[in-house]
Amino acid sequence: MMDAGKKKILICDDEPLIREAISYAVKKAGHEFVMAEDGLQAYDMVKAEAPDLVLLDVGMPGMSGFDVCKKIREMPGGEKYQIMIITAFGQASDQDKAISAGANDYLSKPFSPRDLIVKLETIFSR
Amino acid sequence: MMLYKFLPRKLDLQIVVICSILMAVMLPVYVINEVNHEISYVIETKQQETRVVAKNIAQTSVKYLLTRDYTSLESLLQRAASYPGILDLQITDPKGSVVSDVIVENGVISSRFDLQNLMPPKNVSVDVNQNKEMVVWEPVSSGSLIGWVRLNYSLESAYQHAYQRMFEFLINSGLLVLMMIILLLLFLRKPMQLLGEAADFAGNVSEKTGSTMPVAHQSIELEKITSALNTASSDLHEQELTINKVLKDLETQKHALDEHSIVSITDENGYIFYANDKFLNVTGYDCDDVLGKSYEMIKSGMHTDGFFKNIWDAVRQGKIWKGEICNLNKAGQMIWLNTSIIPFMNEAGTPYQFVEISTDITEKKQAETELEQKNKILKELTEHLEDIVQQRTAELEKVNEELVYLNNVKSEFVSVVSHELRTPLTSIKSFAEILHDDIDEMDTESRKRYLSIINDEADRLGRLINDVLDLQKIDSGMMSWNNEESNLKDVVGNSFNLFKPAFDNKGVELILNSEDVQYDVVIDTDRIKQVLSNILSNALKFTHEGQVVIDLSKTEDEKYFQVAITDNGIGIPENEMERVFKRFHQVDSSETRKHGGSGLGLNICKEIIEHYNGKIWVEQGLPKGSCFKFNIPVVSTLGA
Repeated sequence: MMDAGKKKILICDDEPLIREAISYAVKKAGHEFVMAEDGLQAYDMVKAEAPDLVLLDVGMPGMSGFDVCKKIREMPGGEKYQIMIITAFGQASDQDKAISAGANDYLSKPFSPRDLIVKLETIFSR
Repeated sequence: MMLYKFLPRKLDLQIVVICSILMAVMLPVYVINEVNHEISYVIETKQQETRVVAKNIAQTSVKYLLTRDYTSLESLLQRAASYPGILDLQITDPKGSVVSDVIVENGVISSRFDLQNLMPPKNVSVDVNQNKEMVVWEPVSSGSLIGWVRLNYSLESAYQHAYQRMFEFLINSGLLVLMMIILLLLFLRKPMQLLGEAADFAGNVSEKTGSTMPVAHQSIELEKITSALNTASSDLHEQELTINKVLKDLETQKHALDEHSIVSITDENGYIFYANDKFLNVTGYDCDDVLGKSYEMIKSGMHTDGFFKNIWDAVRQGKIWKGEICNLNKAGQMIWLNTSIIPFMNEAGTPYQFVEISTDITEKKQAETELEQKNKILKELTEHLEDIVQQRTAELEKVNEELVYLNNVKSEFVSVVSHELRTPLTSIKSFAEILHDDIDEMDTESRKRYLSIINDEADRLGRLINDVLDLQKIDSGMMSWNNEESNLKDVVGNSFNLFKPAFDNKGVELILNSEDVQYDVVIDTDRIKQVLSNILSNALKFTHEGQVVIDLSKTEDEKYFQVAITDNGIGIPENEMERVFKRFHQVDSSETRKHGGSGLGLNICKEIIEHYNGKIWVEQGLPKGSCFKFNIPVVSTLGA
């Protein structure tokens, strides 16, 4: 595992078990994390916490991950955030939607914590 | 004009008679006038003569009167009396007392001595009395009036002379007239003969048009007459030729008209006096049937009285009427005629006959009627077709919409199922890896917890798979229905008991109300429980406080048992209430949906309830939330 330094990661997913699994892996990888249960909360926390990377689930109440991603990009200084979209819908178009919304990367469910950490480190190393 | 009744027929004789009559009338008048004139002349002459005589006597007798020599005076008078025509002769004194009187009787002159007094005039006078006698008074003057000479003169001889002259004149005039008549007859003979020939020629000119007669040069009039007759004959001949040509043309045209058209002619009262063969052929009547009759006999009744009134009004004003008339032939079949009615007007401007020229358009009308009917049918068919097309288009649009909807729903379903499969799978995979990698570092509680998560998520996956499989079985008719006589209240009670702890844990009160009736049904209890479980799961999921009530009852018509589950959740919009039972549907089906679920549960419920001929629907809950209701028919036995 690359030593990319300690990063702050915002984990946003409406599924508590997914949040728990991701936070476990992130913590194990030596990074900090904050968690949000829905898109609106995530948007507020981006502004408040200024995370190095935002993990956004797509299917969430209130605001989808795509919408949150767009909003972050539209906010002043929003372009500096690393954003990864996570989706369980399994549609080929989801990756395009993610890129269009301004995400840096995309991860499809089901994934293992190991897969996620590899992706994260790749992003941090860019 | 009466005169001509008494005249001979021949013109020359008429001239002669009229001339004779004129002569007979005029001649005596002339003669009488001449005689009178003659008599007047004679009388005047005699007056002058007798006055001269009287004057001579007066001059001569002056000295005798002055000397009173009455003998000489008488002698003088006797000598004077010998003058022819003197009847008597007197000399009187100024007062009228006769001095001397001489009378002439039968040529004998004698003196008369029964002297009487006479009444002398004041001046010289000459009077003629009725006895054709002329009395002349002549004064005897010798410086003063010394007496009067009275002379009575007979005019008888003068009159006789005049009458003699008149008689001679009459005789001569008669002879002259006779000669004139003879001459007149002689002179008139030739002209009369020519006139007769001209009359004969004129009488026969209509038969011998174009012939001529010799021009009579005897007189201007005869020349004019004969020339005019020749010209008239020539003109008449030319006119006859023209008329013959016109008649021939007319005959040809009539023949052509008769060949093509139906022709009939009526008098001013509308009675037919001519009908051509075509008219008879078309109407089927004989000539005798129609002549003298009106068109009433072929009226069809297709037209109103106003229609015929308009025709009459038009043609009586001299206008040509054109139009289509439906008549009946003798066999009672309708015949349509395209007709023109032409009024023939007299000099007074009123019609004296009407010519009706028609064309038989029965076949055309029949064709038109058939065409009209076909058009009508075609129109109806077209309209019907349009309706069908519109209906089919609407149906197709609806089907298309449905297909689009289904396509979207299926697409969504793939996403939803994918999401529902991948989410628990992610949990399972993640916690399995955590356990695998870090099992040695974690305590027992954590291990148990992670294993429990893996187990629950595997169950979640299993339920989804079951739902999908159930629908597949229902669609393919492979679903097994283990129907048995059951008590619905027990089935509902079982589900109530199953869900009660979960509601209690959430702090929501679950209540079961049921009417005290028998709830005998024939059902697969597992399927009905599946329905109840689905609805109650939703109620549990969406209700966070208050209560959820299950009401079990029998409908008013007692044909169904009804289960109503009223939650206190977020409710369902009015426009979504039907669609929630559609397959793959979720009220909040976007990526932002808050609550998990495949969107298959309520559709499975609907399939199960409808399998039992029941009905499931959702209403607004009171005061909020939703109320899901379903009916199950009351069936007491399996055989029912």
